[in-house]
Amino acid sequence: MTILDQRFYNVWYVGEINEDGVDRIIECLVNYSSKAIGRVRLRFYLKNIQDLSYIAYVRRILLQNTSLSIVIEEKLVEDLERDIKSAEDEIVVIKNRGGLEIPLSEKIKIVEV
Amino acid sequence: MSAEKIDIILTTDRTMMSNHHGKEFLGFMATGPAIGMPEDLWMWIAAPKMKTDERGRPWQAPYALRKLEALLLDHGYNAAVIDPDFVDKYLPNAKILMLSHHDYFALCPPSSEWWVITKKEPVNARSFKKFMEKPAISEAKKRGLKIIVGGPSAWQWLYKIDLWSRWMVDTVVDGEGERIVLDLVRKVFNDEPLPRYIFVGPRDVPTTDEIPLIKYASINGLVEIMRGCPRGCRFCSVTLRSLRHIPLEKIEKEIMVNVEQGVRNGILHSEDVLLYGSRGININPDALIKLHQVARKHLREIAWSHASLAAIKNAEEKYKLVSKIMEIVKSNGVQSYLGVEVGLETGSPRLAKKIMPAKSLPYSPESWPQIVEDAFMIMHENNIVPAATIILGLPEETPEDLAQTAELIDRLRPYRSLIVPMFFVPMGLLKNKDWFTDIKITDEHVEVMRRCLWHSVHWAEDIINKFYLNKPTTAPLRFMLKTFLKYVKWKSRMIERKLGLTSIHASATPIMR
Repeated sequence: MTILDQRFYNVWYVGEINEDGVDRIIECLVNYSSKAIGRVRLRFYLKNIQDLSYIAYVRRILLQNTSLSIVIEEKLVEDLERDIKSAEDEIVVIKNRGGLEIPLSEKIKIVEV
Repeated sequence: MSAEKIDIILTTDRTMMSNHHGKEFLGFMATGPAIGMPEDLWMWIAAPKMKTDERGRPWQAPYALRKLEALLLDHGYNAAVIDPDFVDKYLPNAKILMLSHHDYFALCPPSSEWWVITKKEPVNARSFKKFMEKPAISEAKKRGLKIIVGGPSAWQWLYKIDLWSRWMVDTVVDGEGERIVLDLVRKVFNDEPLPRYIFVGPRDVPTTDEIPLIKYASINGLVEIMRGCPRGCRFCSVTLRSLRHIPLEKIEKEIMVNVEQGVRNGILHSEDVLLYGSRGININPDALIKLHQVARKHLREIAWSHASLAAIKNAEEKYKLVSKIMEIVKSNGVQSYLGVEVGLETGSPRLAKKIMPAKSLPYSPESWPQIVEDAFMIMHENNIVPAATIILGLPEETPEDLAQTAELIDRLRPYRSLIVPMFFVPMGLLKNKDWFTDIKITDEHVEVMRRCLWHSVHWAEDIINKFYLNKPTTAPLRFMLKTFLKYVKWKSRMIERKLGLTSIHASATPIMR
């Protein structure tokens, strides 16, 4: 049995990464931690995929979690629109300042920071 | 360039890829900086080079790497554990470099403590950095090599983002690797992007059926007998994972892998060896007797990785089990003692109740100091030599808690043991708590540390002479360590005089009841 093929909750983050944004992510994870699936794929849409400075913010998320499996991914912000269009599962998109306009879709729940 | 190609290289730095002269406890020296001697000499004592074959495959390797190697080989991948000195030869053709470490950046205890006290970076972190700075790695990265890092200290990368970026590490895996590693390797082979970080939660840990058997020898014959722990101490990460007992036949097969490859001593690894085969914390004497009979049948010397003090007391008082096990252990006429790490953590019942309420079970946390003393006496009488850890700087620790810890250490003077103070590192359920730094060291902490020092210095000499390095072949090492102990005593007395502190002397006379 492998992990990445299992069912995950999806949380995508777009826009400026700051402490308020981290709080919204943590709220999502707290909500998911009591649910059966127990896995979250947390994807950050970045302008520069080589820039790992966002990890300093997600440290707080990772250090608070003990129960969920969490997979952190990065993608280029240019890919967001295409990814939303092709999304098959429900996705929570956390949007902060500087985030792109997100195309409407019934599978997408937008959380503004 | 080598003609031989290995797709997946599993390795680590020298401080991990060493059998520490066959003396596991000497490996702890790799958690400190060189003290009173040149670093090369310190490294020779702590982490001598591992014997390899002509292709750079180490005779013994860290158990976690051996597990992943077995998993990958079982799934048809071209993978091998390679000694760090031979990695360059394989990097030009490799697809993945997989690394594991107990303490990548010396942020775990006791490395962090050595660092704070000496203000010098411990050799484990220096050695790992030296390994990662190899030009052959950066060359291979440019060509597309993927670097995946894991192990118990994977979380440390979250504090070293600059080095994560500089060394172009692709993925950090925090948690048991058996299930996730195959996912990651498949992604690399399919040219798919890798996730940046993975925390493997409790429900994604492998079952005992999914844990492969090692194919080649592990460092000092370590074999896992359990995973997880039922005691739920709030400072510990292991306890977050479910408890699994490895079936005895699998343990025996791994012991035989080691023995057949010339590693005739073995370490039974568990967070609490005396809970092998148990239901919760209820000891299973039959399972433990069978385990030790199997180990005795194949091994020259047996060690335990960890045991809880409550289980030691309970096993002896309820079943005379410690004595029975030690009879089995000594029955080959070769082995005279057994080494183990134990968690003393605190002398304060209040703190024990707060941070580790189940550690004392089946006894009450209020009786924790008495449990500790009784267990130390049982071990002393049975020639079990514990290396005990104390945690300083736990959240909500008070001067009164520390006074009780100091008092307990005084009560343990008659019992042969090493007591090592460690600074609190936020792990387990306490991992989001404040880091303990040197800024918070109080006079009470210093008193506890001094007591630990003098207790350990006293008994270290006895342990070296009578048990640990008592064979003629270990004479050079014995000489070096005794010289080092003299240096530590001299230096410590000098510091105490400077600070106006009176000397503490450990009694050599055991109290027998």
